[in-house]
Amino acid sequence: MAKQSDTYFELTYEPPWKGIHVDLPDNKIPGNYTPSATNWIPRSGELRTRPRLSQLIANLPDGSQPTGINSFTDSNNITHTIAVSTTGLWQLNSNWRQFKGKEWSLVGRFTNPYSVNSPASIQVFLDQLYFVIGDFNLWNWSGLTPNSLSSLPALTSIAKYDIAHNLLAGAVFLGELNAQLILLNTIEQQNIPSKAATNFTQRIRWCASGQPTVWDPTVNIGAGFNDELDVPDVITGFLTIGRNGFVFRTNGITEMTSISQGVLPFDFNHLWASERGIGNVFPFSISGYGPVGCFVSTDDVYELSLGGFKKIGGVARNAIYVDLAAAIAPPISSMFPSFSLAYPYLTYKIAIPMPGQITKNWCYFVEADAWFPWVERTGIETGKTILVPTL
Amino acid sequence: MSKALSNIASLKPCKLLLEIRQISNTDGNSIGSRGTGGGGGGGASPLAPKGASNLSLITSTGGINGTSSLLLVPIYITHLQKFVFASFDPTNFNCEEDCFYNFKMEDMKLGRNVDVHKVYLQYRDLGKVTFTVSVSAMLLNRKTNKSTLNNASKDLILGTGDGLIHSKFIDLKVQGERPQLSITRKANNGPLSIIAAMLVGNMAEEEQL
Repeated sequence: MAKQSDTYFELTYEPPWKGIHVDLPDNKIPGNYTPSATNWIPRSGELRTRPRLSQLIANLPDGSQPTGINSFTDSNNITHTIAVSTTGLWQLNSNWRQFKGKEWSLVGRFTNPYSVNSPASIQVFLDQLYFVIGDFNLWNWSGLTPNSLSSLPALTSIAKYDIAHNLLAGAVFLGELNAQLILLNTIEQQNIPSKAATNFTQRIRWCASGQPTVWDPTVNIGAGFNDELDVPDVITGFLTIGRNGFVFRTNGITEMTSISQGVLPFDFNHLWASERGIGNVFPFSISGYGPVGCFVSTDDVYELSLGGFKKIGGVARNAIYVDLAAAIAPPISSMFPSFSLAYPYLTYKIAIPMPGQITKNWCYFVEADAWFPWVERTGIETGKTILVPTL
Repeated sequence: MSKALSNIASLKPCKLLLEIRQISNTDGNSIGSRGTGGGGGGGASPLAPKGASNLSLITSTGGINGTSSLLLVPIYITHLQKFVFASFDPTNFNCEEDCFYNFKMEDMKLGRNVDVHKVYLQYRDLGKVTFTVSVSAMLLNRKTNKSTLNNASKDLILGTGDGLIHSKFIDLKVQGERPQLSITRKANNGPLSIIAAMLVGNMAEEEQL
């Protein structure tokens, strides 16, 4: 806002701070936007240097790469904060602050991994932990084994889709809908006896209702699979909002609705099946929190909620896409409700690995409806940022 | 007294032996024992009988209470060549990276030079911070018809951490078109919280041509 007499002027810059604006020249944007900035966070009308990023918990004992973090509460009402790495599953010890170097304990190692290049896709279901890592296993841990009364192995691969031939299935993405675990973009053991695995990029597989260990349709007709043959692209993510599942593809979205508990439990409706369309371009750019989900498509960043789709890239979109184009590895997004329990602030963050081994985060602060970029020269983010119990 | 009670009364006191052992998994990472309901750590216990006998007695393997949460970021630290778990600390705004913020470039009137002579800053004092306020403008040389960048800046050290809102006038003199206010703060130089800013100056009145 400018206050002027004939020659004297005062130009003021006031909140709300709305972040990056690259849709107009630097001298034509509104005064509460910025043509360029880095490492700021707007909140409560103030523009602050962003929260400090520092190492909190040491590396895993075997030095392996973490590909996912999550937490779940087991049937004894005990919370487990876990890390999936390229070698196995680890959990955070309750006394991690006191005993340096003893922060993590091994739950179980993976056996025969086919590929561990993708970030882990994790789902909590019926008080237990389930996850996939882009190989032919759906891993399960109850939080109870092994213990003083059970010699069961801690980590088990449970999706046996062909019991007669002992064949296992895994996937790149995992979700839950209608009390059924859903494997998407599956990887399945084939070719008896070598059991080499094949990637079915258009396949969706589900377990019997409420029975996450039953995947063979000949054992229970509630289990089954569907190949998305009507669409020309591959599955790149999954999100559930209310009773609907949204299967994301590179150039489209398929709505997955629960219709029964029988042979065909789901109806698949391709919202569009065109060769080019709004879809999730980057496999790990989908993130959701409650009734809101966000993803990166070819033409914009979208927010998906009960009200439908909304473009949120806004006046910062072009700057975000310049960085996405310069990425040296797939970007990983996260959506978290707060930075700590005392600092609630719903944020969608796209971590882009950039040349020079640095991470450029594009943060969308939902309350402020503003995009701000954060640069981390420390290194590359290797999994989703997540708010998890630590004590 | 009933027969059952008399039997209890006749019982002799006995000793209860409590043995505490360190439980280790195959990698040798010891796991602290949990309290009520928590059970022991991961890895097969040396005391474990073979097979579960009573599901209702199965305890959890490790775990935490889940009373306090933090934001965890799995990150590969390039210079250490290590994968660690970092966190954004919302109680500490002393960001470990350089920060800069460029305000809107101002067009007072097309083709008019302005003289900026002051910057006003309103900020919340979160602690000692060192930063730079600068104003730049493009100065057009009428004879050569070429523009050059004019810039003036001032380094400031402010703050005691009282959490109150403060004001500051900064003398900065710059002449040219499209003045632009910028704030830069080097890595680890303290927390800065801006509430409002203002550019103060005069616009030249001379004819353009």
